[in-house]
Amino acid sequence: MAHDAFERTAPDITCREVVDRTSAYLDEHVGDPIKVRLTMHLSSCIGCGTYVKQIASIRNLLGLLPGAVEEPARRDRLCRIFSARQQRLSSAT
Amino acid sequence: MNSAITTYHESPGQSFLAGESTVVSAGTPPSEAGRTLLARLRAGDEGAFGELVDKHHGALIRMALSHVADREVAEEVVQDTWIAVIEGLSRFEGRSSLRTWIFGILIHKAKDRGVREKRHRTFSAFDSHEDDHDEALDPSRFHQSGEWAGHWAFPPQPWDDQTPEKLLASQQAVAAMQRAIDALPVTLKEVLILRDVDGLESQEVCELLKITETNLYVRLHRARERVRRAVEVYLEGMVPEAV
Ligand SMILES: [Zn+2]
Repeated sequence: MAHDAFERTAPDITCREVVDRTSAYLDEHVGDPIKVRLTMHLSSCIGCGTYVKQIASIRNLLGLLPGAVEEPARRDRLCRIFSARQQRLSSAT
Repeated sequence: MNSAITTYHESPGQSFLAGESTVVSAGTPPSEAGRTLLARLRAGDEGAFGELVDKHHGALIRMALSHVADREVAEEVVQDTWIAVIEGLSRFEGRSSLRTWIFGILIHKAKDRGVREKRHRTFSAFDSHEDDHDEALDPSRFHQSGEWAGHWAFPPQPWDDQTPEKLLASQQAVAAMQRAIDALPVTLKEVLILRDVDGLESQEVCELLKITETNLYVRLHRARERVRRAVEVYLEGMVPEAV
């Protein structure tokens, strides 16, 4: 491959296409031919490299966001219902 | 190390990856931890049930909130779901994971409630639907024409390694992310919550929502992009004052 020519011209997949496939790519849900093109593009495109990293960060952050607070009263009530049901079941058999 | 002894089939006639997969068995096999918890639940262990509630309650509330507008109604839907779990536990056959089963019950109840609620609602933002073919990212961030058409005109500014930690530590940043999630249309919100917030496997999400993986990733990416954009705006210091 003429190295200079490659550097000078746009890679064969556009940034826009990379962006649209970022989440599938991160989860390894892209086919091999596309994956090769994505990896090649990412090795030479700073913008897309940044974008993919940011989406990965967002994905990880979403799992760490503070969750809804469980109300103890309801939790206890549910546990009591659970136990009552279990007792009914075991006394029925 | 998947057990080769057991094959998992979904309930008869229910193929969630219609015609697509011959490699992977339908349904998501329960994990070891899931099986142990299930055994304890079946033995009537109240502590195990408490654990189950603690583990999923928050995610169930968020999930319910993508179908019903009101926090109180969401709480009710989740309570009903837990009751249904208690009632149905003895019939649960463990063919899908416990989590998939619970979320399936929730989604059914939440949709049902959402449909009933809509008759009384007049605003439409909540009902907005997504066109799966729309762009995830604002097209004006790319060159529109010329040799570099489709390439970045306004690439994202890199974050440093501490950015995620700093975001989590900032109440404002967390609130900005939360607002972005809340503002998502239901089709995007449900995939984001199931996959990223509660960490279900993509296969489980497809099964629950009856969508293809291609569809899942289109939606998931659009949802993640909106949250990313909210963070970008926050970092640019352009967060509009809450009105
Ligand atoms: Zn690029």
